Amino acid sequence: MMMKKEHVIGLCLILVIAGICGIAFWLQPSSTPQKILTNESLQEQFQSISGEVAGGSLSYKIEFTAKKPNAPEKVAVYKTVQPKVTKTNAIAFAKKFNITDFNEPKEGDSVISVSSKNMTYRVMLYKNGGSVYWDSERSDTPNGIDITENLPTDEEAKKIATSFLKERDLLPDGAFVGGTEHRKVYKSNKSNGSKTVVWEDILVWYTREINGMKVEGTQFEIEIGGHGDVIRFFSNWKDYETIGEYPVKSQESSIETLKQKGISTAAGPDKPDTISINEIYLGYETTAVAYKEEYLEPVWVFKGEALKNGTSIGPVKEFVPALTEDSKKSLSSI
Amino acid sequence: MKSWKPDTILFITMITILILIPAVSADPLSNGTVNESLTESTMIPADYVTGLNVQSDTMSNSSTTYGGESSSNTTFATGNATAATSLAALGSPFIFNGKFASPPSGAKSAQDYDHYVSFTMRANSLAPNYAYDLVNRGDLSDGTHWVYNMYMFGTSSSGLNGRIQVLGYNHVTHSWAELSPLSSPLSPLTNYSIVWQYSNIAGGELFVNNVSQGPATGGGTLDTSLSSAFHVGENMYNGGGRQHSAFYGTISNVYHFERDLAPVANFTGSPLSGTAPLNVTFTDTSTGSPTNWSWSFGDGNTSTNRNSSHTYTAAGTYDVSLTATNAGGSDTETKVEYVTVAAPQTTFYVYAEGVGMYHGTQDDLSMGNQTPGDFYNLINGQCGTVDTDKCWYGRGIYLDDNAGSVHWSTAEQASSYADNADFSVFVGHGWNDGIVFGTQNTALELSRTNMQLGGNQAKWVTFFACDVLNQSTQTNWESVFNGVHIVNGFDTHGLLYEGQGTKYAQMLTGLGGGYDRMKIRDAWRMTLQETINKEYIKGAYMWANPCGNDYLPGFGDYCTSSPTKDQNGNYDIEWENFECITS
Repeated sequence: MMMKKEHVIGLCLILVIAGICGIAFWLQPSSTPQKILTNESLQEQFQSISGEVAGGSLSYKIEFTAKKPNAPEKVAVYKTVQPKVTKTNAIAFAKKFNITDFNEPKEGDSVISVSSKNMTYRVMLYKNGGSVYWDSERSDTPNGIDITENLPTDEEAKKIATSFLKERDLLPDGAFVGGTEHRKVYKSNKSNGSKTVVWEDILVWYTREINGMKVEGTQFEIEIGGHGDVIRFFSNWKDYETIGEYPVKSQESSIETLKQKGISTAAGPDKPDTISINEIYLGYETTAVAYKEEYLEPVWVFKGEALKNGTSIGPVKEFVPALTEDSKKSLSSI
Repeated sequence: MKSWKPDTILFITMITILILIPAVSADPLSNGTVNESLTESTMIPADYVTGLNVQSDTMSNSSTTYGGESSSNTTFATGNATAATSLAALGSPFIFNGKFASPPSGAKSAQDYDHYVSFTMRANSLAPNYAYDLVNRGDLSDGTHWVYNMYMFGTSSSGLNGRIQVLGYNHVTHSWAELSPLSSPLSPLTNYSIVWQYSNIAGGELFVNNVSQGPATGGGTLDTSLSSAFHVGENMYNGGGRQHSAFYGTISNVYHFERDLAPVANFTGSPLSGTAPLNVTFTDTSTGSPTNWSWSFGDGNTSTNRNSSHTYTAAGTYDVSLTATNAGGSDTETKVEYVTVAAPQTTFYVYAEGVGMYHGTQDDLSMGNQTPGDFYNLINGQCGTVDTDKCWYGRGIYLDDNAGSVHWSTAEQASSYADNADFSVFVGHGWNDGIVFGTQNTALELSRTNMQLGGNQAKWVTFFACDVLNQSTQTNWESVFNGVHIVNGFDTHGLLYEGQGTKYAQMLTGLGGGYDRMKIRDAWRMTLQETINKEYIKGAYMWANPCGNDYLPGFGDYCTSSPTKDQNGNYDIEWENFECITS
């Protein structure tokens, strides 16, 4: 039976639509029957919580608009190399910042401190890896030097920072500039409700990728003040050595975990009604310097926006550990 | 051999006579008179002359010789005691005869004085079977006991005839032994100068014709209850198998010197340490009956009271000395670094409260941590390392209640606790306009408008709580600045990190952890940067000029005055929100 041309065109359109729907269905996380997690579904996960709590609410839904990434079954896991930190190291580090007239270094369980005699300049070396330097007279303190008009441009600040680090052999291999931020101290004028910037510097931060995956967490940051002076430096740089590849959870499994965990950034005062996750990727998360890191942990990263009435009220970012339980058990025995 | 010419012999003879005549005539006994005396320079220690207490009398019957076995047969008439203040004042010669009828004026307690007696003794004979009592120093309390007895043995006393002995007696507590007897007996009808020097401390020593017979053997001290009666020539004792008698012969040129012993200064004080103003009571414990006291308290102040109290008003370590003085001299006792006075303390109060619980959606009570308690315990009781007089104490009750604070009720206001502390820490739920005491109990909300922070005492406040100092509403918190210097907080939603309370306290004080002391705002930023690994968590602080660079009092400089207001009556407020993490 011959079909009419119109019928053929209509059938094709139906097939195309069905195909698109099929592809869309395939892209949808298999364990998530719906794209949108409703408040009701979250409530099932938090049976013991009811009503609002100050500082947070469960009255939001989670939307996943992110594309499903290509998830490997295994990823490389790296053991954290514990640095050797001594007073001698700390003094040598202090001298890199021209601190030569210093008090007796103080050593504790987690850090060794060296301060200038006048307590203005100080460095600390963390035993878990990392270091810090700052000029306490200028950092975060209005001083007439670190003001907007005295600052270099962001690009100049990056060059100053990189040059400063290289001159002191402080820029490790693999580190690259991740971005800049302007840190500001404001002064309020209660009479007219205005605020003015009374102190400002430029924070240049560095990050790195390992195994082609982004490392989440502070790596390196250096603050450039007025006249291009370096007034603060903070490093959470750790050295790693590979210990093998280990199985990771699927994206779907991590979403289930996310539902269990919730998104803490959604607990703000503005009470978002929606969390929109628009980026999901596998990365590594380095811990803060206060905590001992045994290995660089792979994580699923969920990034998005907190929305209220369709308007973004701030970014959200949540990490879900990616290693399977068996992988963790294996690592714990290393 | 060369022969002498007669005129030469005559010349030599004459010269010899001229030389001998004065010597012979100087012998007081050569013509029956007593004019021999001891000289200060030869026998009397100089310090006996100083503070001299002399009794003397004139012999009334120098030629009569008697004997007897009891005091009733005393041959010497009672003399009259007189006192002089120096040898020169006594005149010379003078003679003492017999005993003092009563203790000489000014006789002292034996334990406090040395004494020295000298006399010329001429025995008529060595009495058979007797010992002549020469000198007794007795006990005033009963008149029969004595401290020692000096006597001369008669002719048939176990071969000791002609010896002089001085013996202490055991019926008082002293124990020193007798002197060694002379190597050769004394002869009757011969003048001997006798000196007996007795020191309560050094013991006794007998001199005969200026020759020491050796110190008393043994040792011991006198019974401190003893007083002195001084007797010469009186029979004091009759018994014990050896007969003592009054002296047969002449005793003349009696000198009796008493020397005041210099006191031995000492004292106690209480209390010996404390915080200024520190009142210390000092008690004289000197021996030797001082009559004057001179205290030096080490801070330029003095006192002449026997017991004294003194208030130290300044911090320091003080040497204290006491000089005790009497007629015999003085002695100074100095106790080095005896009193330690800490500077007047300025007391600061710390208050910490909170549930240490994850904010927002978490309801896992096991996630509570000890942030407030850790902080409180590390600050409470600490004194400054820079200003040691500034010390921190707890105020109010902190509570690590991971099941939700039960300490608070709706009737309670945070200010009643937090405002009465200098440094207040709250750990728990918060929002951009208040805090909540308790995990989920909205009834325990405390809005910032009901906080009275700084109105009374609070100067530094830290909120480990979400959204307190949220950037968009940060200026809301200007209402709590009513004397507050710094408010630290978060611009974030949710956090839970162990160890923040400990680190924050360690950074503020530089005590523990390997940190050097930091300014309050620096400590807050570093605490967050070291512990937080979530980029959405921001730190924040506000401060009121010119007090934004405060250290924790005691650990560095801080504003001692309140923040200033501008011409419109508003505080000069500055604030900052800062990233805890960058990536």
